[in-house]
Amino acid sequence: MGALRTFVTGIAPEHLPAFLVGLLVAVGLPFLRPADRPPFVADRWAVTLLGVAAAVHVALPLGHHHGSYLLQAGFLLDGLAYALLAYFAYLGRGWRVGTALVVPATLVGYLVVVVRGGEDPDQLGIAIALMEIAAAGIALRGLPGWRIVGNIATATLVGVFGAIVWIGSFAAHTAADASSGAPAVASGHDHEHLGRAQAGVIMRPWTGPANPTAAQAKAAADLWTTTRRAMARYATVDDALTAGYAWPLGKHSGPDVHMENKAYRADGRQLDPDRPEMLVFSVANGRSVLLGVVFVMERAGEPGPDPGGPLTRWHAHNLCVSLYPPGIGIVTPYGGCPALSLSGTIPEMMHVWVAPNPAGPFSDSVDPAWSRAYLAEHGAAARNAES
Amino acid sequence: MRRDVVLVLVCVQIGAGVLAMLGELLFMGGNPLYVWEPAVRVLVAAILAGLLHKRIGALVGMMALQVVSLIGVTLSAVAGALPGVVFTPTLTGLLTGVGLPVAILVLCLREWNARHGAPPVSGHAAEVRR
Repeated sequence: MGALRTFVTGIAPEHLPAFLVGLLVAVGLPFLRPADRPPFVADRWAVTLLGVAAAVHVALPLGHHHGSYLLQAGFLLDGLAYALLAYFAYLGRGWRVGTALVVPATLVGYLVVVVRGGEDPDQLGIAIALMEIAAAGIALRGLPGWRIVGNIATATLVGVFGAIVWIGSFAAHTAADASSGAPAVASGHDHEHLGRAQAGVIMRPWTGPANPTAAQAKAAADLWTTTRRAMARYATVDDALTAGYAWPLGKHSGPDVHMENKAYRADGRQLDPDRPEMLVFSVANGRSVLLGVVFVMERAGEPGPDPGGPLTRWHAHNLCVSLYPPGIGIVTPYGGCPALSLSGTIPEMMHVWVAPNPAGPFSDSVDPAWSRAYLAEHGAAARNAES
Repeated sequence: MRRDVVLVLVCVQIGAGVLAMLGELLFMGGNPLYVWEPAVRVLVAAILAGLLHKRIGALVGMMALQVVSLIGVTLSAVAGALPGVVFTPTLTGLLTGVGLPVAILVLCLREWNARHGAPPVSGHAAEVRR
């Protein structure tokens, strides 16, 4: 997926008008200065941060025209409150207490909507929240007795808000995944989960019809049947190791152990049921069982073939690679990595579950509890499985 | 007043940095080796931010820290040219990886200019003193 497309995918389509309005305001407001006096630096920052938040909130109903009146009224009310605070910041007085009160209330409201599944957190929502937190931090710094508390509150709020969004985003992805066993995947933004927080998972949007054609359904079924038949030779991890698959870094047991075959990663073949780039095993107590395979594209950014249309969806992971000590993490909702790390998105991949994964044969993940139960019932003793 | 804004922006960086550290810690099975380096970065940033108004060295250190952050983003973008990985620009990534360090860098630079009696990079002279 191209860089621009990935960037745009991170912003929900219904938020695009608000994003453009916010961008215009963000470019223009820093140049706004009162003519009668030199402004304080903090006031100027507050004008910009609160002004952008106001513009985005006021413009949100432009895209949310199918949303409830209550939600739209909430956006407008919030936007007007921020606009008023930005105006007071422009005047250089009376904005700090209001900002310190309105920002936490807005963030709590947003998180309630996210946690209750009312909205998939997207890049615009997270970016605006970050700007609001910064505005509240600047406000608190200027209130007597709140300077130190303000600093601590700012850092804590950033961390806690990010953590809740991160957890909410993963929960939404898992929930969407669990319900994707059904054939229909809507192409509209309202029903398609695209992980717009882009924190660890980059989904490729499906732009075709929501339901698969007969040919696509048959192609998906054929892919699953062929893969299942070809994978019968990998009963345990011993068979996989013999065939050239290797353990992942530091992980020899678990409900979804991904073993990679480096030779297959660079063999120039795509979606070859005989040579999947990864095998997924459930491994514990000296036993293992094959759950499925992962087809991985050779080059990052290259879209994988989707014979099954909306049924065979690809995704990628944006990861952090820390230099010292060498390690892997995932990109946060703020798009960042730990210090001295590099970030990057690895090639697209698609799971095909040869075991009866309740989430569906092409789901992105497997429920750990189901995997353990499946291992207990179908697992076989393996010499190399960790006991 | 400029120092106040820098302090708040550094606090935002610290919060985001701690979150990233926790993410990697979870991913690497809770191995404490992955704590020390981000923790040192957070500590250094906090100390430098606290000393901004007293020591010119803190100002220089803060600017150096931001330059290191920008180099990291640049290296990530360069690494995206490799076949196995691609650079993914996101709105929040650009905001925290580029916007935030650049903003802190510019504010520190203006503070530096103000302390050395040079005219500010831009803006009103009186504003610098505030």
